[in-house]
Amino acid sequence: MPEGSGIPAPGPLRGFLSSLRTLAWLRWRLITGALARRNRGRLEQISSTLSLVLRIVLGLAATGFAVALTIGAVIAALHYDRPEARKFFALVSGFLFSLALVFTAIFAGNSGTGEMLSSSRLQLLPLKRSTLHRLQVAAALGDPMVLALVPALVAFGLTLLVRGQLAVGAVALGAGLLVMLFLAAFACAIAGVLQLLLRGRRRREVFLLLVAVGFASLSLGPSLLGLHTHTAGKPSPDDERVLRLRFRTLTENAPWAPPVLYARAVESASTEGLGGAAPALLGLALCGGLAYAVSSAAARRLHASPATNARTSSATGEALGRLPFLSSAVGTLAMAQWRSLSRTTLARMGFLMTPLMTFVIARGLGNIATYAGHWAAAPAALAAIAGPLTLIGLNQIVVNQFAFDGHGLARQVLLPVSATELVAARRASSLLFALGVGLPTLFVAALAGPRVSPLVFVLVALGTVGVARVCLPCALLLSAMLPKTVDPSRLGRASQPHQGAVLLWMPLVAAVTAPIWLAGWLLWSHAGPAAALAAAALWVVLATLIARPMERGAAAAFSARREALLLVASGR
Amino acid sequence: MTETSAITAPNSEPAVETRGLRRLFGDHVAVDGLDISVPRRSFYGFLGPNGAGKSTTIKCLTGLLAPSAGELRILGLDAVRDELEIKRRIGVVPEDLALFARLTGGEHLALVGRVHGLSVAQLAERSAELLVLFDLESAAAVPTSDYSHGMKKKLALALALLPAPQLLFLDEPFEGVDAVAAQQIKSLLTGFVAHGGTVFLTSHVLEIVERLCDHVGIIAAGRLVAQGPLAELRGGAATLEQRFLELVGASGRPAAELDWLHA
Repeated sequence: MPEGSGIPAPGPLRGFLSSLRTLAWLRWRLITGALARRNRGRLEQISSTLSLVLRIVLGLAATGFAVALTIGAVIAALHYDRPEARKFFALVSGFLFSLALVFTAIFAGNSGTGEMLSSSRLQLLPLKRSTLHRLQVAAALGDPMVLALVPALVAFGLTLLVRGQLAVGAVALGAGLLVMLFLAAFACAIAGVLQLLLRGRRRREVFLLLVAVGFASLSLGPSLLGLHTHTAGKPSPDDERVLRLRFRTLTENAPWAPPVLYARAVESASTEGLGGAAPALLGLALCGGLAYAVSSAAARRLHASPATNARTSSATGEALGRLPFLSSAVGTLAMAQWRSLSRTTLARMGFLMTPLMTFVIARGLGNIATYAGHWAAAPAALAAIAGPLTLIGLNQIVVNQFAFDGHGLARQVLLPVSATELVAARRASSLLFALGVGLPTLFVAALAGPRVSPLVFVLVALGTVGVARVCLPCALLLSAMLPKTVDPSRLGRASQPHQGAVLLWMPLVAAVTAPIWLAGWLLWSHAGPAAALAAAALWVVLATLIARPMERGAAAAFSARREALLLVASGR
Repeated sequence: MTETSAITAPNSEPAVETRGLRRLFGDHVAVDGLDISVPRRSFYGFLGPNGAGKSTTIKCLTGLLAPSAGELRILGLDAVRDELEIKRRIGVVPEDLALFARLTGGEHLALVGRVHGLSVAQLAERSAELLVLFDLESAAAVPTSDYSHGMKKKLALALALLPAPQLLFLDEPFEGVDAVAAQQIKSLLTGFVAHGGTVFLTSHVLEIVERLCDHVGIIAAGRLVAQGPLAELRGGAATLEQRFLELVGASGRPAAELDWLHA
C-alpha cells in the first residue's frame, strides 16, 4: 500500500485478533459456501436442501455428542477421587483423544484448513508468512472435532476447581488447553503435509491408492497375522492369551502418546500434586511444539513453492479402442468415458477394493465354517455374494455418472450424437466397469471356494449381468436427477455421490437381486444346473428387453436436465 | 460426416440467423430479443462488455443452452429440429473449452474424429497436422489436466477444426495463447474464411477484431446495439474501440479517478 494511504497501522495484538476474526469468517464461508448455489433449478434446490438437512442432522448429532461428553466430564469430575473412576476416566479420555486425532487426520483435507494453507489469495495479504501460519493454527481450533471436546474439557476442570481440588482442576484446565493447541497444530501439520503430497496429480493418485489399500490391509490384518486359524473347533486359550498380551503391550509401549498424556497429567496431579503432573504437561507441550514445527515447515514449503501441474509423459496415448455390437460413435464415446473414468482414484479403488472385500468375506465365511464345524454352504454363499457385491461396489461410480467428466460433459453435448446414443454409451462404459470389477471378484471367490462347481460362477455372472442391465438405467436416472459435483481423483466427501442416490441404489440392487438369486437357487436344486443356466441366459435377454424403455426414460431425463447437469459437472 | 446427410440447406441463407433470441436465468434476462445475421464466408466479431451476454449467446447457438424464446437458424438449418446435423457441420471452442481432464490430447482427437465419422487414415493425418501446427506433439500422450491454459486452448481449437467444419464458433480463442500460436491461428482462420468457411468469434481484444473481422455485432446488457460490416459500423470513428465505447454507453462516463490511490 502506498505511503500516506490514511489507514493507521493497527497494534500487533489488535491486528492479530482482527486477522484471526477474518480467517474465522473465511473458514465459515468455505463451509457454508459449498451449500449455497444460485441459478439452479427446483430439483437442484431440493437436492441441495437434502444435503443441508443431512448436515444439520449431523451437526445436531455432534452437538448432542458434545453435550453428552460435557455431562460425562462433570460426572467424572464429581467422582474423580475414587481410583476406579480415575481408571475409567483415563480409558475414556484416551479413547476420545485418539478418536479426535484420527478424525482430524482423516478430515484434514476436507476441513478447509488445507485450502487456507495453500490459498494464494491469503498469501497476497499484507501479513508476514509466520503470522499467517500462526493465524491458521489458531483458526484450526475451530475444527469440529476440536470444538466438540472444548466444553467437556472446560467443564471437567471447572467442576474439580469448584469441588475444591484446586491443583487437579488447574492441571486439568492447563492440560486441556495444551491438548487443544496440540490438536490444532496437528490438524495444520496433517493438512500441510497432505497439501504438499496431493498437489501433484500423479503423486496424489498414488498416495490415495496406497491409503485405500492400506485401510483394506488393516481389515485383512487379523487374517494375515494368523489370529484366525482354520483348524476345526474354537480358538485355543493360547490364542486368547496372545490377543490380551498384544493389547497390553500396545498400551504400555505408548505412555507418551498425546491421548494418554492428558489423563496421566490429571491423575499425577491428583496422586502426587502439581510437581507430579509436570512431566506429562511437558510431554504434551513438546508434542504440541513438534506438531507446530511440522506444520510450520509444511506451510513454509507451501508458501515458497506454489503448486504447478508438472507435465508427465507416462500416460498412454494410444487411440481409443472400439467396442463390439455398438455403432462407431457410441462405441468411441463409451471407450472415452471408460478411459476417463478408469484413470480416477475412485475407479482404481473400485477395481481393488471389491475383490479385496470378497477376500475378507471369504476369510470370514471360512471362520464361520470353522466354528460351526463344517458349513458346506459357505463357498456357494460366497459365490452368490460376489455378484451383488460387485454392483454395490460400483455405487459411487454409477449413480453420479454425468458429473464425473467435468467440462468433458460439454464436449459430449457438442458432439453430433443424440441423447439416446449418449446414454447407450454410458450404459456400455458402466457394463465395462462392472466387468472390470466383477471378473476379478468372481475369480477371487472361485479361488476361495474351490469345491464349488464352476457352473455356479457362470450362473452368478449371468445373473449379475441381467441385474446390471435392469439397474444401470435406474442409476442413469438417479445420475440425472440427483447429480453432485465431485472430483473422482480424491477420496472422501469430495468424490462421494449424492447420499440420496446411494441410499436408493443399494436397496434397488438388493430388490432386483433377491428374487433372481432365489429363483436360480430353486432351479439349481430342483431342476439341475442346466435348467438354471438356461434360465439365467433367458434372464439376461429379458433384462435387456426390460432395460430398453428404461434407457429411453434415462435419455429423456438427460435431455430435460442437460443444462443443470452441465452446471453440476463443471462445478458451478 | 455431411456427405451422407439427407438434409440440405441453401447456401444463400446466412450462416447464423437469430430472431428474437431470448434467454432467461430465473428472473435474470441474459439475452433479450437478439436478431443476429452472420453472412456466409464472413469473419464475424461479436463484441460486448463483461456480462453482456456474449457467452450465453454462443452457448445458445451451439446447443449448450436452450433458448427461452426466439428462432435460431444455423447454416440454414433449424437449431432445434436439426440439432445433430448442425453439430456435424460446426466446430466450437466454448468458454470453458469442454475437455475431459483425464483424457490425453490424442484421445480427444480420436473421440471427436471418430464420432464425426472420419476414416482411420483421415483421423491420423489430420491429427498429426493439427498437433504439429499447435505445437502439441509432445503433449499428445499427456492428460489435459497437466496442460497449461494455453495448451488447452490450442487443443480445443484443434478439436474444433478436426472435422473440417463449415462454421466455427470461437469464444475468446486468443485468450491465454502465446504470440507465435496466435499468429498461426489468425493466419489459419483467415485462410478458412477465404476458402468459404465462416467464423463467429468473441473477443475482448478489439484490435484483434478490427484486424481480422469483416463483420461485427455489438451486444450490451443482452441487447444487440449494432451490427454490420466493420467499415460501415465504425463510421466516422477513428478506431473500433472508440465506436464500441460510444455504442455500449461507456464513452460518456467520467475518467476513472481514485484520489486515495495517489501516493
